[in-house]
Amino acid sequence: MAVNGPGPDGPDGGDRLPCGTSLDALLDHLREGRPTAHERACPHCTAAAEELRVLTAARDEAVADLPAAPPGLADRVMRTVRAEGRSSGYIALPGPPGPAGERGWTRIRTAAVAALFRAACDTVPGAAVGHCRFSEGPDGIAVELSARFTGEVPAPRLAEELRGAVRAAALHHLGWRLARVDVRFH
Amino acid sequence: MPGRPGPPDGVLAERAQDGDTAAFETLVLRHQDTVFRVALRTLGDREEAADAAQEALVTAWRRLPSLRDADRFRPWLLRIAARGALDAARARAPEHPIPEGAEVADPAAGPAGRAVGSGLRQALDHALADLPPPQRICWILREMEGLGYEEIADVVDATPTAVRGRIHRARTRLVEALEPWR
Repeated sequence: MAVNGPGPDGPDGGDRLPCGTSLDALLDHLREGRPTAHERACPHCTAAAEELRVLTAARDEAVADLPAAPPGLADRVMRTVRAEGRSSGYIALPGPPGPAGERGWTRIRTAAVAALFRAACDTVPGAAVGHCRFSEGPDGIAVELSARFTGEVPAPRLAEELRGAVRAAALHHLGWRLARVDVRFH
Repeated sequence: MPGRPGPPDGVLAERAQDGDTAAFETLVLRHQDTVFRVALRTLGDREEAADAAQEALVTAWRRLPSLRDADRFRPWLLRIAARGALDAARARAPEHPIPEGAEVADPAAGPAGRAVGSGLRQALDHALADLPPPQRICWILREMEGLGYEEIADVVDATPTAVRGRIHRARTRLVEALEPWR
């Protein structure tokens, strides 16, 4: 069996025409109504286009009228999802001093803290933050964020802005001084 | 990608892994149509496909913490949907086999669906129903749902090269089946 040659089991799945054009690329260009000059003139390309004309027309017709999910599906799914939730840990934070100067402790769900920090990160343009996880060390609470670029801001500046947003939210809403904020980019 | 605004799938999937139900809801709204259609192709019945789609999406929520690469959420979800639909079809009583031509015979397609449901379109549906299932799902995900080879490979648990081969074979058979329409 030819491993590297044309044919359905070759690396191109048999979709490379004798002129070297990939059938996939040709189909994409035809779909967009923008075949290249070569594809318009080449006998191999025009023959392939003609052979696929009916299938392409049938596909276009079907795609124009794809069935959608029935109304209410997402609501039913989300009712179950919200009812089940996901177990979340807690972080203990020192409360404000009492009348006699004693300090109490407040337990707060990590999911709620993560939501607060992500909302703070949403105000930073150029990044989208996924995970927001916590660890408690000797120096206090450390935060680890996973972020993806959504703009052109360079990573070091973006990381600094995300750290700043999270530190500010922690201090302002929870009275925390975070030990560390790590940002991991994808 | 479907044209719904918002953060990329990977970001939402990571948030949902951490318990953010609102992030998961965005993913559901973004992908429910494709999940439903994958189930409908296999089951050929809207009610059953809706049940299978619901089951797949809830299963995805439950299993999400085990998804390692959040950026591959869509193929991972569609794989759950495809397998679930296949299981549902197998579990069905033998006197209710998978209907031929799936959506063709669907009476709930609505007047718009019937109006444009030309003979050519029906011929394509019948030709698709005659394909071996592995070829059918690969062709549909590529040509009707717009997935790339790598993503499809994830869905069907094959190599991208194998996926290319299946799509090539499906295309050849579909062209032959539609020959009378030339």
